[in-house]
Amino acid sequence: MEAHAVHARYAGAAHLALSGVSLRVRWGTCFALVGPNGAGKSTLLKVIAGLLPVQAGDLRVLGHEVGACRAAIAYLPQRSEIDWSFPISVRRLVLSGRYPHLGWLRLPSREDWRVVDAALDQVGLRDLAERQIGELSGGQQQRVLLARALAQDATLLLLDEPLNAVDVTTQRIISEVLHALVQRGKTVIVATHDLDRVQREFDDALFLSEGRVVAVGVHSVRERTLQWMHAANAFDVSHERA
Amino acid sequence: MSVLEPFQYAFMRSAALAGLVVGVTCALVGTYVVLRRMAFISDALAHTVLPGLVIAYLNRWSMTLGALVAGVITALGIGWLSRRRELREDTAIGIMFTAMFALGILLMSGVRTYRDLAHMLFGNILGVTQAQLLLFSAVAVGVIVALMALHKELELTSFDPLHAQVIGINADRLRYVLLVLVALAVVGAVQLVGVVLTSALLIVPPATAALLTKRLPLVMLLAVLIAVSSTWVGLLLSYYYDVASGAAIVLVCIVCFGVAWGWRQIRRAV
Repeated sequence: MEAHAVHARYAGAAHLALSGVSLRVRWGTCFALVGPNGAGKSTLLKVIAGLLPVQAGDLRVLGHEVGACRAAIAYLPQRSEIDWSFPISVRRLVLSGRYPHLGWLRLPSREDWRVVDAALDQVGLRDLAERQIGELSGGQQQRVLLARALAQDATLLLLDEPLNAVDVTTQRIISEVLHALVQRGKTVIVATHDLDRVQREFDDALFLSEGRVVAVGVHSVRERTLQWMHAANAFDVSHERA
Repeated sequence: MSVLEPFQYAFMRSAALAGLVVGVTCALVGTYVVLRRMAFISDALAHTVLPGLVIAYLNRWSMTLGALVAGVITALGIGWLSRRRELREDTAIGIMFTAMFALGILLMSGVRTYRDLAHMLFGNILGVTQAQLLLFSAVAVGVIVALMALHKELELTSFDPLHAQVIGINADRLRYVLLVLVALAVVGAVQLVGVVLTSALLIVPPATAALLTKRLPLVMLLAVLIAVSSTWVGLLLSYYYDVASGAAIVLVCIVCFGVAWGWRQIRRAV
């Protein structure tokens, strides 16, 4: 995946959400997007997923223009983007990962259901397959979304803060599954705040601030993040004193 | 005295059949309307068919077709006004709703008597003709086939439009399709319970069903049962107690909702 000087803006917004972002993600690697809230991490994932148009610059995903290989991209949004009160089961939600392979007007086959059950097994949710999706905990909901990406058999996975406010079991399962996917040659891009995890589990990283790339590479990103955290803490302390 | 006694009359049999067709259509489309939080839009569509009805009446055209055209124009108009998110959808609905309803009232005020047009506002299920029934049935079959064919896409765009968009399902286009299907269902319901009460037939049975189960196919099935049985019970009440049929049908729906609501509260408390 390669981006060169990408600019993007939300409809009706006065300011650019991404300004001249360039990056290169090698196939079969785990790539971290780091940065404060509002830095543009989610926006960059949305642009790569084809949810937000590129205003200027060049972006090629899996060697193609954005939108040319939709079945190969799985996007895991933040949990708040999904209506969890909708009356469908966990199994049915995971089945929607098979839709790119099914096409319009076609019903799922026995093989599709087998893939769904295997994906649920992999994230440890087979026992909850018939539950309504809103009856799951936050961590379980995150695992359901990961199971859907597995059922989709996507080549590129885009995860928007999957480890945010989830239980330890979910963190472990997500890390294991992502590691296994990378071993199988899949590419994973994750927006995250977890600096320790970036250093331990990611091949490459990028630090964004106000829609611009500030640092590239795991080591530089770590340095930049620590600086930012230090500045943020100092800001908080001075505010508390004031 | 038998419960079925009123159905020896042809107008009651036609009314019961119309109730079946419109009940099934409204309940199925209404399930998506309720689950996608589009209740306001269905209310608006019910009101905006009025100018179509009046224009058709004044020109002696088919009133059903008049309503159909006005409904589809409204659905497409709302989608067009809010297409770039520069205008919020509820604002676009408010504009189309008031503009079309005002136009309908303006046209009605030009007619010498309100009496002939009163049934547009309050419906007249007992006056449904064979031709109208056939037309409703054709529309209903089209709507139900479209819903079945697009079920998985409509379901997905209802709870996770982002995933739908990423995998190439155009959620906006599907919203247009759903709006047109709602418009078609509204046209049928308007003849039964009138402009004012149509949204109740679209909203109340699915809202009642959604209180009772957490499975989409069951919500749809229960909504259909509630809509059709409410229509039939409402018809019988209107026959035996000589009250307005449209209002009786809607009030039976509301009683069902009240019972479901009470049952849910008791279940929560226990």
